[in-house]
Amino acid sequence: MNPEIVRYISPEEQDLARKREELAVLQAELIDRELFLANLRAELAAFEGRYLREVGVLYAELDDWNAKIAELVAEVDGSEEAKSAAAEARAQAKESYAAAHGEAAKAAAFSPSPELRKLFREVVRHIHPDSAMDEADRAVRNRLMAGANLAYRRGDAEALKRILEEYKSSPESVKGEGVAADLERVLRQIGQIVKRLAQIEAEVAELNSSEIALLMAKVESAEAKGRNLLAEMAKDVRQRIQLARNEYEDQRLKTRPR
Amino acid sequence: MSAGEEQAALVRTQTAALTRTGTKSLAARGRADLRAREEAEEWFKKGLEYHLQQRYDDAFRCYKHGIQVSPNHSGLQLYIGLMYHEGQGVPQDHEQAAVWYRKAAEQGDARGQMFLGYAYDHGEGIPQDYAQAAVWVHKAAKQGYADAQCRLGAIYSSGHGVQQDYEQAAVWYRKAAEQGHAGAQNNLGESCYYGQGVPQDYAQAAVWYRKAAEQGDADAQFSLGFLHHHGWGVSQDFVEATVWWRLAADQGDRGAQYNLGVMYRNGKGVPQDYAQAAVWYRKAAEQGHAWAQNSVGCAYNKGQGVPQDFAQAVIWFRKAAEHGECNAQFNLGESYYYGRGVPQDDEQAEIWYCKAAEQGDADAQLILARMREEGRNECLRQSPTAHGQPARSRPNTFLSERQ
Repeated sequence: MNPEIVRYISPEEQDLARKREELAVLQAELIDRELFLANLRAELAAFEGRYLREVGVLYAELDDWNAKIAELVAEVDGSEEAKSAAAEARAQAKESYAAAHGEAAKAAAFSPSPELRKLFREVVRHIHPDSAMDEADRAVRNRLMAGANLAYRRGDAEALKRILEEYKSSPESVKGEGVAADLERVLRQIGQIVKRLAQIEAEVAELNSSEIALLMAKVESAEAKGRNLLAEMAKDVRQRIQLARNEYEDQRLKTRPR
Repeated sequence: MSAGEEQAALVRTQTAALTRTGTKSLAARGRADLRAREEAEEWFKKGLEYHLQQRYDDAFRCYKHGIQVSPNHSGLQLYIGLMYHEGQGVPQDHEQAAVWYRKAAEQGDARGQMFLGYAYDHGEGIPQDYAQAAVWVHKAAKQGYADAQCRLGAIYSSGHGVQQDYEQAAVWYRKAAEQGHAGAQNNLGESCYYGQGVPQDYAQAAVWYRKAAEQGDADAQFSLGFLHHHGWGVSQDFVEATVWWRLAADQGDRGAQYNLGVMYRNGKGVPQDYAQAAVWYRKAAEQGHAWAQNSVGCAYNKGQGVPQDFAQAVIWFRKAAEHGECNAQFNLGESYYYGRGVPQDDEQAEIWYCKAAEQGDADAQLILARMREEGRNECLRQSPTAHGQPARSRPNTFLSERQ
């Protein structure tokens, strides 16, 4: 007969058991939400890259032509007003160029395989900082978690596996001594997870209300109806570029007649 | 920095990357442009609704609202051009129409290109320029716009603004025809019928005519009836010929109306019915069909399907004769010669016999010869045979030239 079963369980131990169950539920939820957030970030970053490459660069080109037109006008007009308008147009063009051709535009498409998703879930389950036993453990987990996030976004399964192994091979965290200490630690973990969940929700809300997310939602709902909104937008801006080029040519002929 | 803060900071940098100003402003701009285009689209739809209801003032107002929101919406540009062209909702202004068509055309709108082509073709709002017309219609045709492909075929066929080229004409007719364009199907039928740009082939002509005819194209219905009447490329079938001619005739095709009259007169494909024949002759005659005018005259002369009325006969013979119709000239000569419906007048008779004779009418030549030989030949005039001779018409002949 298993002696555990007949063992007397103190009220503190019962309390600890209840709190551990609560913690387990929260940990599971945390993993789900962390995954959701990681996917959302990666999807948005990928969409941002696509948008900047397909449409952003065209806005940058359009702004460049508009700046050129404003500069020509300023050259002829010579007024302070025209000059400052030209300077403003040029600044806008530079800003658009930097945005459209920056690091963000390089983000590749994000389409993690089911295996990668599963692997990342494993990593989160094992190394999430909020499951840390103590501060030292937490620091290790934080570092690994950041690396795991980046590896997931890159679709780098090998890196994820290495991170998982690195954590597993790190020295066992010291278990607490006594029920009271355990209970205190479990309560602290619950507190951390609840806080982290709130952070995640805040960040999801912030991401979802960003311009790029609102745009992505539009593009996706149009895609469901068989429309390629990004292509339509690109076509529209291309037409405006053509019109701006025509205007620039007209203006140039007016100002510098051959 | 505590571990929690560190984690939060990491999260912040990752999120900040997605909300950084550069992307934010470009994304915001994209969304604003999308909204503007959607708003313009709403105005466009609303305008089209009014347009269909013929509430042109409201339609034009909507189009104008839309173009203010989204100045390069090609659909709006096109319809604003249309309204200027038609003078609907705005005073007619061909120059403005051409300006707006050009905006749409330069953005690659096929209809805009086609209408700009029309404007160049007719010199409406811009100086007439067949070459430019061909250029713009060609752009629209290349986009697969069937109307433009058919039009381009016609341009190659006529050689306006391009080197005349029947093969190219047939190529473009075929493109549009294969898209189900009835006019192009009829035109391709014509190409096959006459062997222009394609090998002459009545059976192929019938195939294309039939496609167009089934879509209600009156020209094609006429031609298909004609092929069936003659049994060219298809089985000879008077009933089928009559069916197609009736469809075309009901659409006001005067050639088909005349031919249907002929079928009633001769009882081919339909039971003989002079009254029906007269009805259809008259419809065609009133549209200026010379042979039908002569036939109406004949019907009055003989009292076939209408009460006999020589004066009416002369009226219709004269209309046709003045159109140069040889039989009518002969018949009008006869009317003067015998004084039927007009006072007897040898001089007038000779004038009209002469016109017919000049066109090679053997009977007229014979009569003129006798008149010259015998002077006023009472005998001939009073001859019972001559008197009883019916006015001629050529009910078995059909218009072979169409359009």
